[in-house]
Amino acid sequence: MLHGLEPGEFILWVALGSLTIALLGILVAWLVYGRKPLASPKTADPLAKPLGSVYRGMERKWWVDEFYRAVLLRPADWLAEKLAGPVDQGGIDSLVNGFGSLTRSLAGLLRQLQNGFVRFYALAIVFGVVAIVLALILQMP
Amino acid sequence: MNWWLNPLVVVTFLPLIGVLLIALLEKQQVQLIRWMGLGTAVVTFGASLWLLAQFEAGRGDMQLLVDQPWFQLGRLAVHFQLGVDGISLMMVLLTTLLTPIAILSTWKAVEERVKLFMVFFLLLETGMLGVFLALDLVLFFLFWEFTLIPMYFLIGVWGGARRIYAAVKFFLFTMAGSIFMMAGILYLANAAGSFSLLELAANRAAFAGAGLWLFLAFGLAFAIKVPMFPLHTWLPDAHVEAPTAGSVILAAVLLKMGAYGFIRFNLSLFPEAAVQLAPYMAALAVAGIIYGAAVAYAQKDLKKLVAYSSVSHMGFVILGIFALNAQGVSGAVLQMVNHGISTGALFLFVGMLYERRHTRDLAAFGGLWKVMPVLAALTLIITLSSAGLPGLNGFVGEFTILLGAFGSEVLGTFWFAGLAAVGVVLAAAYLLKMFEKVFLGPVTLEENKGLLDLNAREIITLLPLLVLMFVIGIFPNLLLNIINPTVEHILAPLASLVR
Repeated sequence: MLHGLEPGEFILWVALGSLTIALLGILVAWLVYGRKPLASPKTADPLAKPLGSVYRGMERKWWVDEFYRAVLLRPADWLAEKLAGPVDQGGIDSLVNGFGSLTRSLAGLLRQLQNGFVRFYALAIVFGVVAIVLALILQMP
Repeated sequence: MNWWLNPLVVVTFLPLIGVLLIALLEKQQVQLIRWMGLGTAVVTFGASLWLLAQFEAGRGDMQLLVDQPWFQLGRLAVHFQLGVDGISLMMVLLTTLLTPIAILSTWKAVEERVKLFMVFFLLLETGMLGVFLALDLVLFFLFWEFTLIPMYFLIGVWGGARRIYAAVKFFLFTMAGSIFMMAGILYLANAAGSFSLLELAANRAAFAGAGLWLFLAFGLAFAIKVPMFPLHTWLPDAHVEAPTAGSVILAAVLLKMGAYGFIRFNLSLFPEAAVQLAPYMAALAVAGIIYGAAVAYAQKDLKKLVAYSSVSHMGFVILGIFALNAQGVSGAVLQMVNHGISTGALFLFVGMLYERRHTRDLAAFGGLWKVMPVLAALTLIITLSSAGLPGLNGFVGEFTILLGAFGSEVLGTFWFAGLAAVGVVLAAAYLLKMFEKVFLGPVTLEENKGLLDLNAREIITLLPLLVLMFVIGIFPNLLLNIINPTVEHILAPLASLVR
């Protein structure tokens, strides 16, 4: 027994009322379909005409699934595709690969300094010495 | 007792004995090598149960300490220091359980260079166990980096078509993060005069001024490993190219190293920074949960789908950690175990399909329930476990994390938990879509009509994980009783920082 829950009291008219409604429904169903069953599943429903658009709505369950498909599912599919394609692979992962390409091209530039010509290295040393000497001279009081 | 008879040392290095024994075998003795690898992994699992028996469950501090001086770096001593608490124990058990299961999955899948494969796999196990047990930061860093090498070869040698690209990407990504962690370790040791986590935690004042930077330096390494959004793009590539067993271990254990690092180092050593940065970490975690789920939903490749689901699921773990309360962190540790079990099982399932059809394209399947009813039934349980169905393990972890995030004083708003809860729904969407495309409907392709259902070995491979899904789902206290005291111990320094 759950705490704080009183057993409900029995109300006769509620019980009789709901029972009557249910029995009426069964009676109507029998009057419409039971006495003369439809010849085949393709036969037009006897209620289709009198109920008109209400019948069509009920037949299509008020287009709830179609509504969800259009309002939730299609946009979600679209968003997921965009995130997986352009954003994840095109954006984030390209950035990662971009770091790799950047490193490679910087290394390519630096590589050109290592050209194997001793004269070039000697010249670089001369420039370096000049720069150091200049820096020392400029710093003298 | 000799220090090398300590259960921590025995468990960590048992796989190396297997490596030595396998090294003595001829490489043509393939079947013997397989049995030797499996046997070593099973014995290691047994040893971890012995460790579990020695463990005092009510305690939250480090137990069964091993502390041997190792070598000297100037005035700083590096120690061989190991210890175990409730959190590392969970990770050790996860590792020793998943390794034999992963090895069993290679029986037919790995035919080439079996000897080398087993050697790398057991080396990887020692590396992972060391990560979870090391207390000296240099030792931790060595194990952390060491796990890269076998995994690099497992992807690069036994992987798919783009294996070299994936292996290099995995290696460089992790290394890029590790460099910052190494700088952080050096700074810590200089400031506090020790590499020992226990001594550093007791002497936080020495480096409190740099706490924020140190948090970020360690955090970057761990965030890449987890992986947290937007540092995750190495993961789908690594998973797609790795052999099944590699994917299983990668998802089940290697990712946990990142989350474990956050708890072990960032919370214990830099609590002020953790409190200060918690909302940002939680925001990235929630972004990862939603983003990972959405991207997983759009995948056409089964392995990529499961890989992105890991980004989403690990987001929950990070959210739980940075709720910075007992429920959040306990839920995170529990979910680390759960993710290991369910995602490990998902990769095993993908591997079993791949071995039969040599494709992972979702469009290549459909209606397989009629052809492979056993695989279908088992996969349904795995899928529901991963989606967090109540009664199975995933639910307990996610629920505890969300509870922690809702009540988190540090995060201060329910929005993180509210948005994360959307991720639970999205998980059901992509996982059930996957299940539908593979198993439901009519068998549309001729190639799928003659597929053989699981054999005994494959069922045995999945069975321990399936049993655990139910056991943890129904009796989560079996694990939480071990996890909770440790979480309280780790959160104690944070108590005064949180209003």
